[in-house]
Amino acid sequence: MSFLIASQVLLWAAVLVLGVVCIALARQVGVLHQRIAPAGALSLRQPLKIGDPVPQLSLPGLDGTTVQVGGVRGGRSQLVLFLSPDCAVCEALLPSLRSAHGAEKNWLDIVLASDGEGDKHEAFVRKQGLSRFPYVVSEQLGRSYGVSKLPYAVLINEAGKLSATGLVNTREHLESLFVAQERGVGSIQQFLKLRGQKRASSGE
Amino acid sequence: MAASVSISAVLELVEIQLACFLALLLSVAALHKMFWRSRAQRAASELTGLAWRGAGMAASLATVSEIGAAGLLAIPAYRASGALLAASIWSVYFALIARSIVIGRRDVDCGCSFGAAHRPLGLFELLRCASLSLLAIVVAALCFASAGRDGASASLAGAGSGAAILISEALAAAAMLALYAALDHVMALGPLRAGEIR
Repeated sequence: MSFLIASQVLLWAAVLVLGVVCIALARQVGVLHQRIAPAGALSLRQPLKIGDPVPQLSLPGLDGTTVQVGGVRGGRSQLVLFLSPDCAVCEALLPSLRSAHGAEKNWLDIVLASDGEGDKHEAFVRKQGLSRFPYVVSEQLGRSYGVSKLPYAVLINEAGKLSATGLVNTREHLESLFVAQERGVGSIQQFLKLRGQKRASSGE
Repeated sequence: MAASVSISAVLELVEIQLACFLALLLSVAALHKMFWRSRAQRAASELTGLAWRGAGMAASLATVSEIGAAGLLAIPAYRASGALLAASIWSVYFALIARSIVIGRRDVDCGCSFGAAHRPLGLFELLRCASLSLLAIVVAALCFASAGRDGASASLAGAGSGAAILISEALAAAAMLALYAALDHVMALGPLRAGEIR
């Protein structure tokens, strides 16, 4: 029996070491989270404000269909991603966009938007395998959202109002728009402002 | 006959180890509430809907209850009462968290994590309270069962040297608390959204 007790003591000691190692690892992950966070899409000056109704536009898609951008669309949100075939960052973002398209398909539709020559865009869609996304080429659309830098994303909620918007360079930036809509903030700047106010009020 | 003695000894060992773990956890939780009083008060206010003054009293009551339950769990004669008090405390926390989720306040910081970070209230927070409450009920049931057996302590005492058993119990409680703390740290991190990048 003393052998069993001794083995139990050793096993619990091993579990304790394992637990401490797990805590150390989890703390490291937490520290990394704190150092990189908050990683959100940078909101630029724009004609529309968060919560404003987005003008409803019917635009011709690259495949000949009509694409509705904005407005109330049967309880679904819409992400309009402005990109360009010449933009390397836009190209790097596409795998994340495809992933988000699959993961968020229950509530979100994605529309790609650009301007310029149609042929260039058709080649871009073929090369990148973007035929599953509606693709509109419209300068008017970019102007109405005040897009000046790419890639730029605009998230329109199910009520047809501007929910979140910003410059998106990475998957974290893209997902920050979805989280912003879920938490009811419009941009990283607004989140930081609210967090500062909350900390000041609680005296932390 | 020898087998029944061994089972009694094992059950008693499990009861003491679990009781030590719960007592340790309650003590740490009470200390956490004392050191970070404003966080505990805010959590009490948001979870119960009480005004700031009332929330302060509720946080104090929770702290005193946790210290009381930990103390009772540490004393063999009052272990069952301590376990039942601990089960009641976690049941109340479960009800308050469930209420917050039902009324759509998932953003509330329940003060359940040892670190400053917290994630939105959800299934994990409910499961944690339910599991701890269940564990406390198991300890109470084991206490009642051992009280009904004759010579249960003698069976454990006869199983090995007292010092070795004491070390085993202390290590087990510390190890379980370390695993709990590790899980707490991991679950306090923001969950990743679904979708693999291909």
